Amino acid sequence: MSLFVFDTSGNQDLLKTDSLTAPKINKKQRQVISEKETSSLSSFAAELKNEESDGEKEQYDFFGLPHPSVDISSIIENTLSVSRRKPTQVELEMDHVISMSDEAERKKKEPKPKLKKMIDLDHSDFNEFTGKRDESQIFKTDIQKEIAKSEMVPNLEQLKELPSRSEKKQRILNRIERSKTKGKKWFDMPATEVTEEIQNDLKILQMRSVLDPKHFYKKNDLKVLPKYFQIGTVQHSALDYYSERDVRKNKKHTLVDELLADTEAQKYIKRKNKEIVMMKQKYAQRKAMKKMKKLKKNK
Amino acid sequence: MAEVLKEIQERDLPEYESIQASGICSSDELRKLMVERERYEKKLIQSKKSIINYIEYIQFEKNTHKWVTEKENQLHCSLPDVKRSIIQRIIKLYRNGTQQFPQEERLWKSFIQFSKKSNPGQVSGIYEKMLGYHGDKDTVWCDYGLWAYEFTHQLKQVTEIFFRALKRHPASEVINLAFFDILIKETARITDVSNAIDLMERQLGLERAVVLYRNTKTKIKNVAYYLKLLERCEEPSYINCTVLLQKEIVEDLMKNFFAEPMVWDFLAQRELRGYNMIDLQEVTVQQVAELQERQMETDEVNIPHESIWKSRSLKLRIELCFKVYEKAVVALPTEAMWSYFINAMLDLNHDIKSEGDVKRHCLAKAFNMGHKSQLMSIVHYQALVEMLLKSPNGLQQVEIILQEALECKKSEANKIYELWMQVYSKTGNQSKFYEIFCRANNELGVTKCIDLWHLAIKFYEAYSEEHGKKLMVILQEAAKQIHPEFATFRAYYLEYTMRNESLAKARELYDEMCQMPPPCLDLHKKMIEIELQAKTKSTPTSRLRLCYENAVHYFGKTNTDVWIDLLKFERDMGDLKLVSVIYDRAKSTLDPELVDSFIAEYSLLKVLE
Repeated sequence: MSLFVFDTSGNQDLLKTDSLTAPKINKKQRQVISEKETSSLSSFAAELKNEESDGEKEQYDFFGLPHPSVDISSIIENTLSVSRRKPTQVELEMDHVISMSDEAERKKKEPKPKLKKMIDLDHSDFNEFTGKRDESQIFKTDIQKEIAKSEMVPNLEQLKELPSRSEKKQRILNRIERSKTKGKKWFDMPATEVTEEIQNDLKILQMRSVLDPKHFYKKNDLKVLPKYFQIGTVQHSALDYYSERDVRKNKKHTLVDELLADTEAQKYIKRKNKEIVMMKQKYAQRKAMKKMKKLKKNK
Repeated sequence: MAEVLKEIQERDLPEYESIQASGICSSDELRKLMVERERYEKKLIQSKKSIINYIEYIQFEKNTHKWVTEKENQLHCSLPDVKRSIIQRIIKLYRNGTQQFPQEERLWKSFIQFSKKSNPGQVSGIYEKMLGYHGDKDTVWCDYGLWAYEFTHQLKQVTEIFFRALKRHPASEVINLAFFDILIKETARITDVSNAIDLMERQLGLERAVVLYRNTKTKIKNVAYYLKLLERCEEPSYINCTVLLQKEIVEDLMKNFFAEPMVWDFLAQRELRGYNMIDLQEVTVQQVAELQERQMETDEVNIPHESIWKSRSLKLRIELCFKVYEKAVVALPTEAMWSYFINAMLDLNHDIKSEGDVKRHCLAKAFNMGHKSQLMSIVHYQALVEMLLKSPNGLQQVEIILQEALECKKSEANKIYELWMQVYSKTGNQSKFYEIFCRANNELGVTKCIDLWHLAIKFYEAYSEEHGKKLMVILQEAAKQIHPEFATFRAYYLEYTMRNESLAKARELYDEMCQMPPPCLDLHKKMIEIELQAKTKSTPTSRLRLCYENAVHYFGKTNTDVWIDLLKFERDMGDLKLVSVIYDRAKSTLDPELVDSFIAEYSLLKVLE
């Protein structure tokens, strides 16, 4: 008995929640369905059986259609060819799979042709008339595709001269092109578009040394906000659940939001802010005093 | 590079020696083979190579192998070493090729195809490598699974491949279907159920299929997939053992997809095949178990069919099917559902050898109901009308039906009018035909009735001897319309005038119609044709040139053919000197993207001169 390793225990709640949601039913439809599900069909079947036994020679009403002896197959053919639904791509693929699996089963049963391993080769796909193999059809180059790759000037014949740019203009264009990325040595790091949110985050990063009194950072290498940067996203793994319990829930969308939510930091920033204001005021007072004294002296 | 090539050639020396020793070919032929090989090798050691180089070399080697085999048969000797070295070379080429161009799915497939025949043990390894690059395609996984099923006798390996595939593509219909299919097949293969262990195994196999189905239920939302599953279960060898599964699928379908016309259609067709819903619903777990027990006792291979599906006569099945469709169109009153309904009835009427009366009656009833529901499509109306015309006194009914259809299908009125006119054109009733034509034009406006005009002109053309005047009137009227699609009638009008009156009159008409908007290319072409036919030596070419110039004037911007025609004319009949002038004019007038194709055509013209 082969071991079947379906992970049923892990799947149980998945089974309960069907992703298929039943479409909404109106009253009439519900009635029809419930009728169908109950015994109406079976009673009908019984009815029909009785009828069958009762009167074999029944006259059928054709509503004006010709008698069955008249041949209408061509009309049927024409109509069906137009009105039948065309199978979709997925359906065709599924049909193909079914036929392939049937073939696999058939091949499994029949004995395999005896080819000596590594010595004999199957030449059944060789076409004697053309001297080519069927495979060569698959590998034919698509000329249209190759042509599309070429960079032709579209209306060359109409032009008086070839399209060209002046050296100066070319230099400007090159510069613009170059400024889009940091360069090959930086693996073409792009110049990300700076929105207001991102700008605030970058500012926070630059001033991070003042946020926490117990943490030291080296001084910044840039005095302005960076131009070339990328923002990554942390992909959580299932194991993180234990290591950062309750942390992820409290995470905010941006750094600024996170700071605003952190009361401890708020308090510290407020205090620092107050201190600085005080110091500035004191300094301003002293300066004013000095100025007054000077004025008095000169009088 | 040369030394690399030399080394490769040296390695091949034993092969050449053994060919020479066997004496299957002359030294010239052998040298030719060596030169050819060198040519292919050279291409491969270049830094810039394409997949075609590999393919060509591989094909060459295969052909060489064939050649050696043929020689062997002729001379009754055997050269296993030579053949082995050729095959090893082919494998090496495939390996290098797939390494160089891993993105080429064709090469991988070719490699697998090759290995399946000559080296089947390696195939699964190649598939594994290929999946590293092409694992995003579910069909590749599917091929792999099916190959494993074909090649090995252990289901475990196959299931493991499918599990991996499902991990990558949990919502792929193709993989799920293939897996399901294999599970069912494995279950059905165990026919000898006298053994208790085998019976258990069979039970287990079925349960696996059920679990797989339940699992996909949460992921796949495509109805077609579920219908395919059900269709698969209906195969004669699985129909009985999968009864409970079928029951589950049908119930889920009714719950989740009842708004899909496809589902209703499928269920009705099931009734027709004899797999009744009520039978399915009455089946219980116990019954199935009993059946199996009975099977164990009697040692029969197939369960008797009647035990689950009651046998019913064809007539009964047809009526049950009809009943389901009736319910369906009540639940889903849409045009699509009606289309399925009537198509099914039409399908039934293909073969009316048995129960012809019932089938025809059902078809008639379906048409009647469809007409009353006002949701029947035009195609089916057409079929109905054609059928009615085949029966005696069907014409009155057709008139009534079309009148009623016209009232309820306002949006497609022009098609119904067309149908109506076709009816009269078939019966040859001119006055009624004209009446309907006028009525349609009055009600819908001229621009909507272009098809009707075409039909009318065709009709009167056929009866031109009796109703020539009417045709003239219609043509004149059509030529006056300014809708662009009516412009084609002008060419016909011109031709008609030419045929019935004189060239002078036609020219006059042409001059007049040229001026009228919208411009029409056919008109100019027709006039050119007429002029060419009427051309005698005495008439000057100026008249012809006028037509060509007109065409170029109106269509010279978007059409290269008019220019080519003009150039041809100047070359053959007109002034040769003008050709280059016209060429320059064309280049500057044509739209930029057309210039290239124009120049290509022009150079072709010069070559063919």
